[in-house]
This record gives sequence, C-alpha cells and structure tokens, in this order.
Amino acid sequence: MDSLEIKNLNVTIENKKILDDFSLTLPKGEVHALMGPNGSGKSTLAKTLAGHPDYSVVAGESLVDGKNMIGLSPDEIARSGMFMAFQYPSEISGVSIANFIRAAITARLQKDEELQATQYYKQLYEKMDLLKMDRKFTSRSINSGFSGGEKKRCEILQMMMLKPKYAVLDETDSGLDIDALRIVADGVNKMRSPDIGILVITHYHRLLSYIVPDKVHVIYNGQIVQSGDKELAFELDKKGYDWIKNESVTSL
Amino acid sequence: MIELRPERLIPQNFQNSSLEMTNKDTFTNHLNRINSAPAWLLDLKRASWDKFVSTSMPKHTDDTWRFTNTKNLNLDKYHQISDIKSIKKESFEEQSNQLNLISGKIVFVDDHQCRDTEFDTELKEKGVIWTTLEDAFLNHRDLIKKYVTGKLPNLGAEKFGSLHHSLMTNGIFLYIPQGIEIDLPFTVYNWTSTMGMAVFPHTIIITDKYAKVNLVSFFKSMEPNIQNLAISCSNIYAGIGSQITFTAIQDWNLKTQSYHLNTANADQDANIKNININVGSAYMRHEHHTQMFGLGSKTDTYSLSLTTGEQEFDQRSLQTHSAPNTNSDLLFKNTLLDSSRTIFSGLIRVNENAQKTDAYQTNRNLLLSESAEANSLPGLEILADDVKCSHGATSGRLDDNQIFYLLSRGITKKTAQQLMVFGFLEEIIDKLDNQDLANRVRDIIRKKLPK
Ligand SMILES: Nc1ncnc2c1ncn2[C@@H]1O[C@H](COP(=O)(O)OP(=O)(O)O)[C@@H](O)[C@H]1O
Ligand SMILES: [Mg+2]
Repeated sequence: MDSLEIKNLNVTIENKKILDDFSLTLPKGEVHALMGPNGSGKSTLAKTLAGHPDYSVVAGESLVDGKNMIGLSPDEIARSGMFMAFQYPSEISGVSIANFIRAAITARLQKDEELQATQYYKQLYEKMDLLKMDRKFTSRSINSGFSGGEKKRCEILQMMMLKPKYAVLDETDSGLDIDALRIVADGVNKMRSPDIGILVITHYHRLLSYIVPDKVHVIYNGQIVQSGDKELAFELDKKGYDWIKNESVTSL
Repeated sequence: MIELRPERLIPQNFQNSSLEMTNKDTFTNHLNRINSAPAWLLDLKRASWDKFVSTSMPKHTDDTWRFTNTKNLNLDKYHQISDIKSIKKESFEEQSNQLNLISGKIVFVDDHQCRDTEFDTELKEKGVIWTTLEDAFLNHRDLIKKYVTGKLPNLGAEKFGSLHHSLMTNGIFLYIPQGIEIDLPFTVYNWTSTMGMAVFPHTIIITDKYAKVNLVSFFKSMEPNIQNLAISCSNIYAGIGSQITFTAIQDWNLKTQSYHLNTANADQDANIKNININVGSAYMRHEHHTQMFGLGSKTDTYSLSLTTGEQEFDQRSLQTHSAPNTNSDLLFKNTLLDSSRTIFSGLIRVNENAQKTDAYQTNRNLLLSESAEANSLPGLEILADDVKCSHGATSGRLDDNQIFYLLSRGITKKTAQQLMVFGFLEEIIDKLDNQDLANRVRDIIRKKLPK
C-alpha cells in the first residue's frame, strides 16, 4: 500500500539531537494527528521531511511511496508529492500569490505541457471561494501584512492547488479564531480522499473536533510515546501533557 | 552650412584611425571637422576642452568618488571617428523597434543618424520640434543656443561631462509648444557598433507652458564584445505647468564604460518624471540633478538596476529645492548578483526660501550573492525650517527561510531567484505606465538573470 513511511529518523541541529529514532507510517487516504508539547520536535519533523538544510539527518529515511526523500533538495521533495504547511510562513514582498502558485504548478509540468491561464484562474478562484478568501489576495505579496488567519488560509490554498500525495500541516490551527479554524478545517476536509495522506500537527485537541483523525500519535522528546485512535486526543486534553511526561518516564 | 557629420568631412585615410581621448589632436581634429559650426558652439567646445584638460582624473579619495574603483576609469583606448557606411542597416533597423505606438523615432549608430526621422506629421504641424541636434544647429539656431549650454549635474564627473561637450556632435532635440499634450512616447535609439568608439549622445527636452511629453531613450550596443566609451548628457526643462516623462534604458554591452549625466529643471507647477533602467556597462556612472526652481513644482526620479559579474554602478543624485511648496521623490532599487558592486550617494538640498518642501529619497538594495557589495550614502542639507524630508537606505540579503519557503513548493532555485528579482523590481517597472515598455524591460531583465 502507498504510504509516507518515516523510518528511524535521527535529526540534529547544531549538534543537538532533536528527533530520536522517530518512526511513523501514514498510509495514503488517512489523516493522522501528531500531538506534543512545545519543543518536542514537531516542527523539526515537518521541516526535515521538507528538506530544510539547517536540519541534519544523522540516520533514517523518509519514504514517499517507497522512494527516499532524504538527501533530495526541497524543491525535488515537493515535486515528488510532499507538502508542508508552515507554522510560521515567510513573508515575501513583491511576489504575488497568483504568480507564486502558478510558478509552483508550472514547475510540476512536463516539458511539452503548458498551463492554461484561464483554467488556472478558474481553479484558483474556486479554492479561494471555499476558503472565503477575497480575490484581491491573488495580487497581494506572499503573506506580506497578512493576519495569522490569512497566512494559514493561504497555506491551505497552496495545498489545494498543488494536490500533494502527502501533506504535513504544522500547527495550522494556532492563532486562529473559531471562524477561521472552521474555514481551514473545512478546506482540509474537502481535500480528504484516497489519494492523499495528511499529517496534522497540533498541540491542542480543538482542531481535531473539526478534522477527525484516523489515528493520533503523541511525540515527546523527539520520539513517539503513544499512538491510538481519536480518543487519545481527548484524553490528552483532559489529563494534560504532564500525564504523557510521567507515562514516558514510567515506561522507561 | 553647418556640418557635424564626421564621416563626410574627414579624409578617407583618416577614418578608423585610433585617437586617444586625452590627446590634444583629438580636439583639434574635431574642431577642424566642424569649423562651420556657430561661433558660440565653438566657444563652448573650446572652454569645455580646456576644462577637460585642466581637470584631473578622479581619485577614490575624492569626496564625490567615494567607494568607486577609480583605477578602472580610463579614456585612453577610445576614438571618435569611424566609417559607419559598413554597418548593415537591417541589423539595427529591426532592433530599433522596441515600441509600436510612438509619436516619433530617431536612430543613431555611433552618433550618426542612420535612418530618416520618424515623426507624426500632425504634431509637426502643431509646432512640435523633434529632430537631431545636427539639424537643430541648422534650422533652430536661436532656440538651440539657449539650451546647449554645457550644463552638467556637477556631482563629480565634470571631467567626463566636459569631454562630452567638447566632442559631442549629435543627439536629440525635443520641443513641445504651449498647451500641446502628447501621450505616445518619442523614442531614440543610441547604438554603438564600432570597436573602441567613443559616443556622446546628447538629449534636450523642453516643454512650454502646460505641454506634456514622454521620451524613451535606448542605449544599446550592436555587439557584445566591442569596447566603447559612452558619455551621455541630458538636460530637461519643464515649463510652467508642464509635464515631462523621460525614461532611459541603459542596456550597453558589458564591456562599455558609460557616464550618464542628467539634469532635470522644473518651473512653476511643472512635473518631471525620470525613470532609469540600468543593466548594461562594465562601469556606469549615473549622475542626476533635479532642480525644483519653480513654485509648486514636482519631480519623481526612479531607478532600477540589475548588476552581475564584476559590474560596478556608481549612482550620485542631488535634489535641489529652490522654491516653496516643491515636492520631490527619489527611489533607487539595485539588485546585485555575483561580485558586482553598487554605490548610491544621494543628497536632498532644501534652500532657505523653499518652505513647505516635501522631499523623499530612498535607496533599496537586494543582494543575491555573498560577494556582492552595495554602498549607500544618503544625505540631507536643509536650510528651510518648515519642510518634510526623509531619506532611507536598506540593504537586504535574501534570507534562507524565504528561499526555503519558495523551494518547498517545488520551485527551482533559479525560478525562485527570478520571482524575487521581479518581486523587488516590479515597483519601478510599474512606474513606466506603458505595458509595451514594461514588457521590454522585463525581457531585458529576464535575459540577464542566470539561466
Ligand atoms: N533552528 C533551530 N536552531 C536551534 N534549535 C532549534 C532550531 N529549531 C528547533 N530547535 C530546537 O529543537 C527543539 C524542538 O523544536 P521544534 O521542532 O520547533 O518543537 P515544536 O515544533 O514541537 O514546538 C527545541 O528545543 C528547539 O529549541
Ligand atoms: Mg512547532
């Protein structure tokens, strides 16, 4: 079966070990949640999977349908079907959203293919309507002066337009008010299909009542310490992360 | 009859002979060739030559040449004379067609007019003058005398400016009578085509009261490897309530040493917009002096540059406010790759009487390589007390997280670079206010970015 298979990933940054033999399998067609306290290594995982050069992979693999992504450049990884929604999306002045997404789609085309402008805009507007984004956004610079909610919607818009095989959403819920949260969650739910595997990173269970996951994993100190069904998220919410800390200590 | 065309005046065996710019025979021969020119012009040329000879070459210790690699400046290997009859007309005809909708067109190759002047006859009937200097010296003697004065921005390159005035033979003269408003641009193409040739393009634009005009000037080389010296001077005079837009596309080849010395002078309520697109030249010195001497006048000066390899762009500007209620804006944006260098030195000067002045000056640099270097020297000199002035300079290197963000969507490094460069420069391209021209400029930039 097709899957994103993260195998024994060991990652350091500035010689500090952040991910410690981290393994997780996300089958295509499923939505998994990854939860954990601040500093447990969630964003490190997301950026490592996307090929960020600051994170050194000491050992391990990230297999997209069997093909290892470790060592590929970030753009190659993206073109292989990986997508990451950033916890803190960069602001890039001067580059418009429409041109940016168009360049990203064009980069995925075969040599003899061409992107039809009218088709492209039709799709873009459709998705923007879904995310309740004003059409004016197309000509605005990437994330420049966007509110927190606008940035996160813009990340989901990019995911919808690029149609990845696997998507890692890093705290897409943080900083959102309830309306924005609902819109973003609706967008993600519309994407759910047998053709995509989604890993939702969060440290609140709130998002998971809108995006109901097939599985929940808990990360602590760069390792998965618990996996279970969606009930685990609610248990975690009731008992707090201290519970996990104690659990992981006792299980040692 | 006045004759300024060297090739018709010089003996055949003289052609293609190499003369050093610093050699006094250069000037003597030049004077011999144009001896029928009006006395005032000859006087101006003699005075300019004297100034040229008595001024020493710049040193990097000179205040007006701070940060310049002055050792790269030289005048020794260039000459002024060539036989242009050997140039194939088709080769530049076809490339002198950057804009379709125009009011007129003049094409120079090595300072010689090589095809007839194109000119909307309707405008001619209204009294608009659109012609070469050579023709203006003949047919508009009194008018031209007022405007060929040897005026320079005086920001340091006087030696080169003086050489321009002593040896210049041609250029364009554009005069718009009172109340005539013209939307479609006039275009002039300045080509170099001969190895070692020195060219001295001259530009004069005058608008009478409430007139409006737009000129686009292209500076280009026929071959990528010829080495040329180009010293261009432009003087713009906007009459009361008039409007001038002047765009200079500096696209010389990467072997050219160029000097673009410009003044813009605005009378009461006049508006001058000047846009500079700078991509060519091994070394370019761009001096720009805008002078708001009329009550309520306004000037906007914009520049974009893209430097690669070892290019050095040396930009010096002065905004002088010498009347009340005047307004000036300046925005220079430089994009640097490889080991290229830019220097921006700008001054806003507000004279005592120029109350209620609004003046802005901004220099922004985007460095896309570790070894590129952008120098910025912004300055204010304010003698009036009721003014609004600001200046600022920023230099940014593209940050790694921004690059990662673009790459993480599958865009290659090269495309990411292109997006960033256009993202940065589009603000200036936007000021062109002409879609055709904007697209030509985008083509030029795209062609210069790493493939
Ligand atoms: N670029 C970085 N430089 C130094 N330390 C980092 C960097 N990124 C993350 N870390 C460290 O790695 C650990 C995990 O961080 P992160 O992956 O951001 O956690 P989370 O996303 O779960 O809050 C933290 O201790 C953090 O300080
Ligand atoms: Mg995080």
